[in-house]
Amino acid sequence: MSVSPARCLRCYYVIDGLRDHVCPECGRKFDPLNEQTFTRNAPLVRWRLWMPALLLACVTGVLSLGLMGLMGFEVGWGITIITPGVMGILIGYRHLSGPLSKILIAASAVILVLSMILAADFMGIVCGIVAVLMFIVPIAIGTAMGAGLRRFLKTTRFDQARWLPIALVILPSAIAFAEHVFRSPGPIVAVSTTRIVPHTPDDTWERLRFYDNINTPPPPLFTLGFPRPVSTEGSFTNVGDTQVCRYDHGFIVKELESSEPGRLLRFRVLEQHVGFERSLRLVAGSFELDGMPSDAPPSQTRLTLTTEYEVRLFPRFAWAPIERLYIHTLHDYIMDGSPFDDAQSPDEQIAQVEFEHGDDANEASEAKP
Amino acid sequence: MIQINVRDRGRVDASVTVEVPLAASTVWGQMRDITSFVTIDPLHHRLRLEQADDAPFPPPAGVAIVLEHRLFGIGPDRIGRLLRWREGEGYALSDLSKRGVTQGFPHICTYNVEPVDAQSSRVRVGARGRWTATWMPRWMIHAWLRWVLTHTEWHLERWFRLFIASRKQESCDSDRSVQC
Repeated sequence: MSVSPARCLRCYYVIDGLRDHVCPECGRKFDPLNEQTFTRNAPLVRWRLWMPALLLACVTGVLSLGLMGLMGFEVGWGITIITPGVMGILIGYRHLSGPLSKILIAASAVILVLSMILAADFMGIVCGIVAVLMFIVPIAIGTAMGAGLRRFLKTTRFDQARWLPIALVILPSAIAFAEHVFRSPGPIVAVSTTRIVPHTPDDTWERLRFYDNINTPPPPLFTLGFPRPVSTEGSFTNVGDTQVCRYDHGFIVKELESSEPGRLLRFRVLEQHVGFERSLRLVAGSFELDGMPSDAPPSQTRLTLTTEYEVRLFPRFAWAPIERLYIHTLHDYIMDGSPFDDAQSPDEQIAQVEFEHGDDANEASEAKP
Repeated sequence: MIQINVRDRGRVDASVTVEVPLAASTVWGQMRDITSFVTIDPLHHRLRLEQADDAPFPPPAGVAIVLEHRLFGIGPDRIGRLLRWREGEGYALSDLSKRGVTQGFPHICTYNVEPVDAQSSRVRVGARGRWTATWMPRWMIHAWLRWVLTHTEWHLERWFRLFIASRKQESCDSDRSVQC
């Protein structure tokens, strides 16, 4: 097998067979008998163009997201915005090729980092998908800023630029750490979904008892991995009663806080083990029933489902829409799949449950207020 | 720029010329790596010089070559000779079928560089020979050669773009400032 030709160490001119032992391109001397004075490596080593930038971006992402997974850092500005932003800055700063190439490197970095975080089980698939969407804008802005930073530094006499990538790699983790140290409890927010159901308030109140026994197929969002309710154990009869709401990946323990038949059923959440404890903490929930205005058709009720939760994901402008989407989907799932929307009367529902569950359902119906 | 001439009795003269933002001497410094450079043709998979590893470089005119042709991993090994090596200007080699010089498009490949100015040069890759598959209509020969030359042009541009980027990266890596 033939060996690669000898090349100038400085300019990669092919120096094999030259009479004078001086590179005709750059003037560097070489000794054909001394392998140290020339190279047989080709200059066209593609990975040298993209690998350093990709590596720096990946180290930054894995470091800060890994700290989140290992040390329980909160998802805040450091992880949501600064991490992808700095990944972008490093790519824009370190990768010298054109914009398309930068975009490819940035996309690869996001996919690689999140794959590693998913593989380490620091994040679920849904969170991974959400994070990819969340990272797009900051990493794009960061890439543009990185390219601009490089251009700006060229016009200055700043001689510490080689240290800049190291400082940038550490920055998101440092910010995430500071957020962890100085954290304070998040605010409680409420998300409500209202729907007109074709039943009287009393009828709707009766049907409320079955709202967690949902038999319809879950919406696509839940099939991706968002937790969804599947069944309920226990009943809400008197204030102080507890109910265990089984989810596909855990459960929630609820306590009846107030009950005004035909008008309001409010509960608070005592325990939450459904897998998104780091993302939000459920606090309370309610079903509110309102009669319709007099000009509306009879036997209609305005049903409002409200979920209250403690916010744990920041910044809010990034996470609030996703939380609202999840809660509204959950509410729709409950209302679409529960007895509010079908034509069965509460008695028929009870009969169906007795048929399906035998004695358990009898106990539930006996406990009916 | 691509030029294709298919004349009577299958005489073919085709070439592609690419302007490169590098001095001719710099381009020639890369073209000297003949075994790599001839693979810018999409059909040229590998060039083997039929001489000892420690034979003098540049190879003398007349040295036998084997030019492996591959398309999607399949293709013949063709033979020929290095016909010309003009230091700083270019080289030429023959590309013939093993079945004989009258079979399978016998042709000469030329690779040349000429200066445009101090900072740019023109690289020309040409093929001159006889198209022996006489059953093939002329438009089909044109289409085939255009495909080959378009890819050669693309490879050439990419080759030097990558070379420029590599040099830029190299100087940035070795330079302690960001003046790159």
